[in-house]
Amino acid sequence: MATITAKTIRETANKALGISPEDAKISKTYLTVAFSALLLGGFLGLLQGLNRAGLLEMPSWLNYYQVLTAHGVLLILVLTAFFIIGYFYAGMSHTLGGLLPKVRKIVWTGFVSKMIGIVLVVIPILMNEASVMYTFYPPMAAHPMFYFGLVFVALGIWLACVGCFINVANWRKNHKGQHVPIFAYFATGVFVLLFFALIPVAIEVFMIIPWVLGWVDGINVMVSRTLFWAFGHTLVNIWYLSATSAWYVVVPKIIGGRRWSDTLTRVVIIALVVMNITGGFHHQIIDPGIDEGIKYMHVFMSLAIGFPSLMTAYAMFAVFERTARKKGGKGLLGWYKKLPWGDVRFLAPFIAMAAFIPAGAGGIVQSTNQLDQVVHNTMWIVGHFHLTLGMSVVMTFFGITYWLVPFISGRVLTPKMNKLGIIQTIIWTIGMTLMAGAMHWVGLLGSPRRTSYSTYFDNATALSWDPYLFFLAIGGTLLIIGVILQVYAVFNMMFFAPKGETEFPLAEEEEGAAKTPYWTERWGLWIVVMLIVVSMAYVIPLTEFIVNAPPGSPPLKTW
Amino acid sequence: MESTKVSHKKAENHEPLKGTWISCGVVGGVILVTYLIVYGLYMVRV
Repeated sequence: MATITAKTIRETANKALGISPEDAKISKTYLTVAFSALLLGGFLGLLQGLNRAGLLEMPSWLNYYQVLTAHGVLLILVLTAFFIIGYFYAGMSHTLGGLLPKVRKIVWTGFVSKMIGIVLVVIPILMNEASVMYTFYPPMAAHPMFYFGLVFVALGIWLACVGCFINVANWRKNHKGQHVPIFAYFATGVFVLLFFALIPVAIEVFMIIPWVLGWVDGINVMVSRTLFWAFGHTLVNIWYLSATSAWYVVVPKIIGGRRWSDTLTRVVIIALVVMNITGGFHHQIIDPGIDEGIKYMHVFMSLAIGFPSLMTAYAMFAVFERTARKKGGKGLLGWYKKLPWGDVRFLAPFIAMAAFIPAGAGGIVQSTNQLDQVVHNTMWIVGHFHLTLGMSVVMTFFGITYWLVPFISGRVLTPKMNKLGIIQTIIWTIGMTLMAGAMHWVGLLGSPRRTSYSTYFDNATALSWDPYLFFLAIGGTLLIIGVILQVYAVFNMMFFAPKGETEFPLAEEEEGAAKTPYWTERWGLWIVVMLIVVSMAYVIPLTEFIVNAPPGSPPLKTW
Repeated sequence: MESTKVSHKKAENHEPLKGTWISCGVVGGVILVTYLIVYGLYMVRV
């Protein structure tokens, strides 16, 4: 009885106040770190873009690859991890009746661990002792401190995963037979993926540490690369799954509609969790030492991830059409006009979804063995990455901030800030289209990635890339304006916007929707299925890499 | 009167989502065009 009373009080308080101050503080702190990383990482990106276009020579004390590494670590690891944790913890607090006190302690401990880790990672990067890029796989070797830092970052993220599992398990214990609220269900999927994705990269880091300390002479490069990409690709889809949580659950509410099928939503989450980790192999689809049959299987395993994405595309268009028609929208496509284009909370995620059409198409095509040979290690890949992460994911995150930050700060989104958000969204869209478009194009023309600017002794082909690279520089310049506006918007809404109540927009299911089957709640089963699929994908190639291992590589410092 | 309202709602719910399918067609088209571009380049360069 006492538990029920406490729970009821917590849930009522959450309904009335939105989020408890202790829980809001967690999310605010995480978002502060995320957007500070965006500011710093954004400026480093501008330096890279201008250098890559041949317009800026790096000063002698700053190495292109050092900047590239810092840009990647800050935006790919820090921005995304901190945003995702801040976002989902706010949502879990709201939908699960508040965070448990021990979960708060766990996630704060995780925060400290991650911050210690980031400091340890950044120091050797600043010293130009860790210009190994964010992918950091051997044979390039950084200062040992870099890898110790990564251990702390991984521990911190694991703690955030554990906190989520404890809170969700507690809710399930108190709500037997009920479905976990859809937002918390998304959080569960994301943290399950994060938890398991970190295992291979942790093994890789523990292989690297004795190697860089000189305790062993060589390292198995193929095993390390494989372990990295099992994490690396899953991370991409963790961002994607986080973005889709807003597409499925938040966007319908903002446009005044209802959620599409609850069963389909949960099946998409399960499918992304089960099929994701194996997708890592398509990053190695033209690597040597992998049997053709295995590569063939991996092409299908990678393409399989496309199916939940296509289901998402249908679900989103259907929500838009149904809602717009209810508002009086007419014609085959004329109903699009009825969508709230002047609301940044809709515009930003909508453009993000639209960007995922070419981004996803590129992903599907480049997963194919032969076609990957056209684009592998070219600027196309960098363009693809910026279109998926920089547009589809980050722009959704930006759209989220316009209601999440006021929600956790007890403030409101003003019409002026909404207008600023619209301008920011347009600038970001133009900037990223120019930059990612130029990257795709020069990639098709053969321009390699992961290199600073070079004319290759005035080679005619290399010189032909220059006009397109200029668009990359223009896009990069627009993007830094977008970064400054976005960071300003976040901190303004966090500390200076007018006080008031903002809703956490969660759409309801459609009226008369079919009951969601309870098997969707069997996370133990889905995790077992995921592990079976991972075993199918990895046991044979990893065994071959180990049994038929070439001599190990010594640590290399190429910069 | 009440029954008229209900049947109207039912009819609205079953309205075919033609715009959705056209939009999905655009998604399929973009995938196809991307395939053709990269496959074309592959065949030219092979």
